[in-house]
Amino acid sequence: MRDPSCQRALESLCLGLPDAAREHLEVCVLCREEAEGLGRVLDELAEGVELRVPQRAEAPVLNALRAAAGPCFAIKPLPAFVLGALGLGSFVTLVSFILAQTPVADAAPLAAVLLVGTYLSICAVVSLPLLLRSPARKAPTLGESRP
Amino acid sequence: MAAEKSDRILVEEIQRGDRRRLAGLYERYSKRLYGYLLRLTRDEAAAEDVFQETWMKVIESIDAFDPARGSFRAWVFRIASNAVIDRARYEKVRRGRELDAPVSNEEDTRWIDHVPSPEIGPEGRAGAAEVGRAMTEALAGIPAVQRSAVLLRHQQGLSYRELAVVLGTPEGTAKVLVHRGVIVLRKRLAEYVS
Repeated sequence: MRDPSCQRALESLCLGLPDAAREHLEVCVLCREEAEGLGRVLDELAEGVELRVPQRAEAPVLNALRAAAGPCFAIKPLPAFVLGALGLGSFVTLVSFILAQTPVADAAPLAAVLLVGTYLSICAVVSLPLLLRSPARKAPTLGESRP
Repeated sequence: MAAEKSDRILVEEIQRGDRRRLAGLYERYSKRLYGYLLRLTRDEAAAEDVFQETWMKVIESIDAFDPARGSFRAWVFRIASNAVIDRARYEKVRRGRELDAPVSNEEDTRWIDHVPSPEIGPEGRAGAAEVGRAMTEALAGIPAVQRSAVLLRHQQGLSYRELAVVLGTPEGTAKVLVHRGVIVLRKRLAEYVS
């Protein structure tokens, strides 16, 4: 090495911090030549930064991602639960009215309410596990334990 | 930095329950991860196995990821690096070699030194460009931890902070590993770059 500033410049280039070496390279011809050679090494290193993943490796991962994503319609847990609870309430009320043989003037609205109530009840049942699942589990210890 | 921020947003959405966002992270990092694994192991079968294992663990453990401890990118490469070493250890056991041989305390000979050097078959020799082949051979000749550090920094563009998380070393050590690795590569490739 020619002098300490040459050493520092080379170190910066090796570390991938070219800005730190720029000033020195402007005045040192020998280091400029060295930097060109080093640049070719680093360019070659950067080759293959992204490679097409073979289908046989990708397929199981894509399946797992699809499975994790669940059904194509997403259920927002809280709103679905509230709606579901309301639906369940209306459904139960309705059934109790029917069981009590309360006279109802028009059967069509009754059937509609019954249908909506059933649907919302299903929403409540489906969303309850989602709602109960806590997203913030124990944090990983990066650099120590294996996630 | 922008990528890191958008990773964080995606991760937050996933942790809130929107698992469809996992596909966005996969889209962003799958090719990069495979490029790194293939160059680190130089073995397609190993790279594919580790690739799958890494993403399965990401899907399984994403709720446990804590952005305060490092970027998502560092986390993914850390999982992959751990999977590479686990596989290498398994291979060692399978082949009946000495199990859990004591590892030197020296910086350059730690966990990742269990990773075997890439093997370059005759097909690879014939097919690759000369300088590319020389690079592969030069990479095979440096300690695995340096190889990993150099690839993560100069191929994948990780910051030293991220690199330290992946390698499980202080930032200063990560810098030393990169510096030493590049110097050795430069020397070994002198005839191609001079």
